[in-house]
Amino acid sequence: MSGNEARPASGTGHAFEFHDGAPVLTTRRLLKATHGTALWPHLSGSSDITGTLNTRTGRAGADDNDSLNGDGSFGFSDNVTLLREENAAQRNYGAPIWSLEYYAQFFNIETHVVRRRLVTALWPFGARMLDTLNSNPDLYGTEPSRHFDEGPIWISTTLVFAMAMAGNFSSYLASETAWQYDFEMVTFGATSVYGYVLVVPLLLWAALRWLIGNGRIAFTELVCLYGYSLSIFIPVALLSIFQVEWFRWLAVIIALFFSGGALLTNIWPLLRTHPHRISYGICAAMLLSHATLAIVFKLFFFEYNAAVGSSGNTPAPAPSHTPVPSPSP
Amino acid sequence: MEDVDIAPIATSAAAVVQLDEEAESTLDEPISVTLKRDLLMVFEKFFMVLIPRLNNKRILHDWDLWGPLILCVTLAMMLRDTARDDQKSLVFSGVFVIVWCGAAVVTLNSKLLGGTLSFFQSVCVLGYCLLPLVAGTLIIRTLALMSLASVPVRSVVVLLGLAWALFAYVTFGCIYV
Repeated sequence: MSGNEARPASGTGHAFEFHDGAPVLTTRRLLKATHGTALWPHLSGSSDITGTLNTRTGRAGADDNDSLNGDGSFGFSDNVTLLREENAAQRNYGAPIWSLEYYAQFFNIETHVVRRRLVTALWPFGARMLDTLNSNPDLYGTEPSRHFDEGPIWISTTLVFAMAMAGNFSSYLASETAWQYDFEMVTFGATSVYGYVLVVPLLLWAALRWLIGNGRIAFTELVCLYGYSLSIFIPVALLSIFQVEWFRWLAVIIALFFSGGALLTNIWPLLRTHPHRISYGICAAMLLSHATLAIVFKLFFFEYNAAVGSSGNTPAPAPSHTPVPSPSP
Repeated sequence: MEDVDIAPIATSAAAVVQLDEEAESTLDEPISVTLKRDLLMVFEKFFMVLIPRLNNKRILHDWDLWGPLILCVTLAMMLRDTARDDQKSLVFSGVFVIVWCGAAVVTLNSKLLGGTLSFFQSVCVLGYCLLPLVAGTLIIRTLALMSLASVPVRSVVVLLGLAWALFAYVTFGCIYV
């Protein structure tokens, strides 16, 4: 399999060539690239990359910790298979754009990356997510920041259902009369969460690209940032089942501090080089929309508490001591 | 539905003759026979979910979507009856959206992570695992007739149904993707 192979016709096969000696070099890069990829999609049905590896150049990945373990020896044909799978990871994967395999190349997020993104999206101090996303290509092989991460999808979905469940449960606990669940919590939650996670990053991306001139940040990275930063509202929703008003607001404010702060410290480095007025305006709009979201969630899902004596979704007489106006017959 | 069974053998000339014969036979049979066969298939899968055994994997090759459809419609009707008056149709359509779009998203996710199941096989399994939840709603309706269906009781029944459904899903081997 040595020798030159011509670049095949575009749209089919693999868009790389390899010459004498190149397989070895690329394999070494591949080993560093696939370090830790437990979720690599086995599209070609060929050998398992995360198994033991040894190349002609010697023991591989000895200094790379994590998942490359031990030694075994694969023949040269396995190097080719590994190369093919490495190439499958590159953006110019041969599959046509309408096939599922084309999109599988983006779905190779790893657990430790997810963990790191969660931390950087929720903790305003320390590492930045967009730094994480743009991390050293050598470590990951191909720009992991560009890789789609289905984390925001699952976090948003979990948030929708957690808020709907917690909101219904808390309205049940707060109800005095016959209670019926409110399905609108699911629909409103879904619309607002998915809308927020898609629309606000879109506006931010447009502002960054055309108002600031920073075209390097991808839309998907911002969606990733916003998706992970929303994850803090899941425990807030569950905690808000407690029928104590000030506790709920305290939880919301703390969540806002962390997620909003993390958003700010992630975006601010991108704005630093630009005239201040617009930068401050973008930051203010970002924080304002985030705060609005949190407050709307609190008011919609956790409108009632046992002290106020909720209606349980049906009109009920209000207790005399309540300062909050509630529908009363 | 019959085409799904026949397609794999239509590869050789000799098989074509067999294909014609089989096609004739299933096209010509009375509807009651077709219905009976399909219903038997559906109920067989129901039993697989109700009594999950660890060797349930063969269901995966005979996927059908009738069972999930029946379960989804039943669930939607049950939930619609106990919903608020102004939300009845919202709940009905909401259940459909959640079940089918949810199954599609989960299936897509597992496929993109390198799963070996086909799209419809995975949707089929996810749909059939609704059975414990539907059974739960029927139990709750029965309890409601006896005025025993308070919210804590309902929560317990639903949680048990959920645990059962999760266990059944696991026995189909789908998580070991």
